[in-house]
Amino acid sequence: MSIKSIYYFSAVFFLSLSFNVTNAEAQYPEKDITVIIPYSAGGGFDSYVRGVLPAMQKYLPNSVNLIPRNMPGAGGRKGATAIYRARPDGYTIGAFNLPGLLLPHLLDERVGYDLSNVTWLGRMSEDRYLMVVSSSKNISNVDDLRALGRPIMFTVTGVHSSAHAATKIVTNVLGLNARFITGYEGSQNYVLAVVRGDGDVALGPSTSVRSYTDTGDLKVIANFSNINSIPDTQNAADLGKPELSELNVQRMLGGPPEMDEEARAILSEALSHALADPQLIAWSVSTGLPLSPLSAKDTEANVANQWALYENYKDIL
Amino acid sequence: MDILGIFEALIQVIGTPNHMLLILIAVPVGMFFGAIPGLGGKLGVVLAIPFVFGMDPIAGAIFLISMHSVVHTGGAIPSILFGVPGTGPDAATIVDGLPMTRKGEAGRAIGAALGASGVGGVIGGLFLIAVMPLLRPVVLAFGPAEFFFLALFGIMFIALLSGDSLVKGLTVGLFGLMLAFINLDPQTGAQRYTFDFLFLWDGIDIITAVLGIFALPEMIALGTTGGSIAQVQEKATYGIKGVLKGVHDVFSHWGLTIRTSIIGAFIGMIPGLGGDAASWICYGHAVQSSKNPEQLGKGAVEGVIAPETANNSKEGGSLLPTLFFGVPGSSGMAILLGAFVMLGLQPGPSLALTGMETVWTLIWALMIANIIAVVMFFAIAPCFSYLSYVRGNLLIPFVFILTCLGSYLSHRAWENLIVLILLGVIGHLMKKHHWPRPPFVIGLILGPIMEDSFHKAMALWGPSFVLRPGAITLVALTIISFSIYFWRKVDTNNEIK
Repeated sequence: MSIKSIYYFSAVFFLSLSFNVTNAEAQYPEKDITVIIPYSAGGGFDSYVRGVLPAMQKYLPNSVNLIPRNMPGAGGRKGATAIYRARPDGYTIGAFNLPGLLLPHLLDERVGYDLSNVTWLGRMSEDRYLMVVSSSKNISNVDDLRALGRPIMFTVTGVHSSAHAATKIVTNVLGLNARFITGYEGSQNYVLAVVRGDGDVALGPSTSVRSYTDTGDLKVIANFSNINSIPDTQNAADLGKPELSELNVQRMLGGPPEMDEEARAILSEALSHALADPQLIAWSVSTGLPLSPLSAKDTEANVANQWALYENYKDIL
Repeated sequence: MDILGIFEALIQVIGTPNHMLLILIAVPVGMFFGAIPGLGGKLGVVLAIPFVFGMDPIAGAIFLISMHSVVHTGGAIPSILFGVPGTGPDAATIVDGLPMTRKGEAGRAIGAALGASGVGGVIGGLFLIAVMPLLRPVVLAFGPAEFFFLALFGIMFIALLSGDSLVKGLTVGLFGLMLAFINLDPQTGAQRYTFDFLFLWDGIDIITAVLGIFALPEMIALGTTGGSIAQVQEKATYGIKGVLKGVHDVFSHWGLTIRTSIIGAFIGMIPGLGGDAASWICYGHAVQSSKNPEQLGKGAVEGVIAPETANNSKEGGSLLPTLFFGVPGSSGMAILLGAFVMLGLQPGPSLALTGMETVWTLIWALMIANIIAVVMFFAIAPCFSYLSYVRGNLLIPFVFILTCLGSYLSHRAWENLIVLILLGVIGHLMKKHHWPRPPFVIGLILGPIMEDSFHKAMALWGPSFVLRPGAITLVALTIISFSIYFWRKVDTNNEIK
């Protein structure tokens, strides 16, 4: 291939990326729909969205495509702002992470979106937190941690991330003398840090710790839900703090405020069909990425609940 | 280790026409994405995901890994010809690749890059197979304290890459380090020098910085002096002959080739250090171990071989933590990781118990792709070397567009173009007044790693982190390797006198 043709192809490629003129018409959808993912490709969040989109596409009329577009930056704020400011014609929607995108707004940081105005289409997944320690350590419950008699080292991602907030809230509510080793990139990294022995303990989303608990590198000492799904571990109620079971990581789809009603109905219906699709469920089982669907309406209520929940802990954060 | 299983996997890859066909398709696609600045392997994999989705997971993974493993083979070409790195890690290739082109040795440089990439990829793969049993202890041995000293080791290479004046080198290195602090503080989340610009929260984009500091000044220089990039009257090594000479160079410097391949694979194996570090550390090693270190930076073939072997071998290295820990060893691997998950492969520590066959298959695919890339490209490489004789003013608009495209596409942020121009001006002044430019990139790349690991290590162990066994070993290695370098330098100076 000559340099000229490389240039030609790259120019065409470049143009096709930026070509985004939209035109709302009846009989939605009449062209492909862009789905903005505010995180980089390859992360846990991205995997979910890219897994769900092909299934969702099957249930859209006029055989249009859902085109994922990663727009990472500023902890998801850049992408979320882009979704929020998009034309509300239903041709640009996006994925949201809660509480990741809720926290900066709650903590009065400058953000370009307001989650209470987002047109919610539904929830894809919800992930619970598990407290894990290295299996080689002689720690089997939260009291053992307290008994260390020194600051407990928690490894965690950067400040103002979902995991950081959850770790702060849990340690505060449980009254643990915690010290945070922050700055790990992504949940896989800070969980691995516990395997390595960087810290004593981590509060990781269940999907990130599962592979280490399977091999026996890590053991779960507490799970923050109301059901005791893991034998011999305390849950939030056992710890006397049932309110901690409300902490989670959620991934939802939404669009800009005042999105076209017809588009909203069609998209949220396609999403709920997709989440019940046997093929997607099989994918979810094989990849270990669980799905927990919520309708558009329930998602809206859920966002309000989450806001109220974190508002209670605003002082801690 | 299950030796039979390892070779069964090889036979499975070679013996399945489908798999071989996929590799044959993936290789040119991967090289194309590498050769266009700003596209890179990450975007390549992202764009390929829809095509492999629904494919048999192994076939899909073979396609993606083959494509991704040869990205840097393609990425070397614009670095050598125009001083525009195709991908971030290819930037180190510019330092000697471009001067070689100027000397009329573009063919030789491309040949060396091609050979080095292929050999690096294969040695990287073999190294992986050899160290597989040690993977776990090695990955777990590298914590924040070790990261800090490894980054410090890399930063000390600034001294070797400063050229004639150490003071100038240090100043430039510190400038790079300074710009590395523009981001959100990884510990406190506070904004540092972001001036409320959202795009600066994630720091200065490395591709933009490299393009600004290296590519733009070269184009300005070419525009003002006129003529072509190759500044020779007679056509020196030209066409296939030059390319062959370059390939031969790779084998005649076999010690360096093997060492940098292994260093590259090793750095790739440690998650969090990043691929950009591998090529610079290997470049530093080339300077350190060269018999004529003063020739490096002026168009020595060692300066092309070292980073190019490292680039390809580190991709193999980073495959291991990606597969076994689910922690990507490089940014490209992060995307590959996501793609594997989507294909239904579940990377993570449990893979060692269930999916070793998959791992062997992928390592073989990686090696085969590297070999195919060399063979496939060998035939057309001479055509590329002709480009270095094209008149500058025909080339500049084309390269300028590539540069802008690369800067914009790396994060899809138009603000990057402003940074590009600003750094371009600084780079031009540096070039004009003969200040060394590589230290800038080293500071920018290793600064954040050093800062972040320093904070973590201090929080965990306090100042006593320097006494950890891994840290002491690395300090000792640093001191030994630098002592040898300076001792040899003093020795040569005495001989000259």
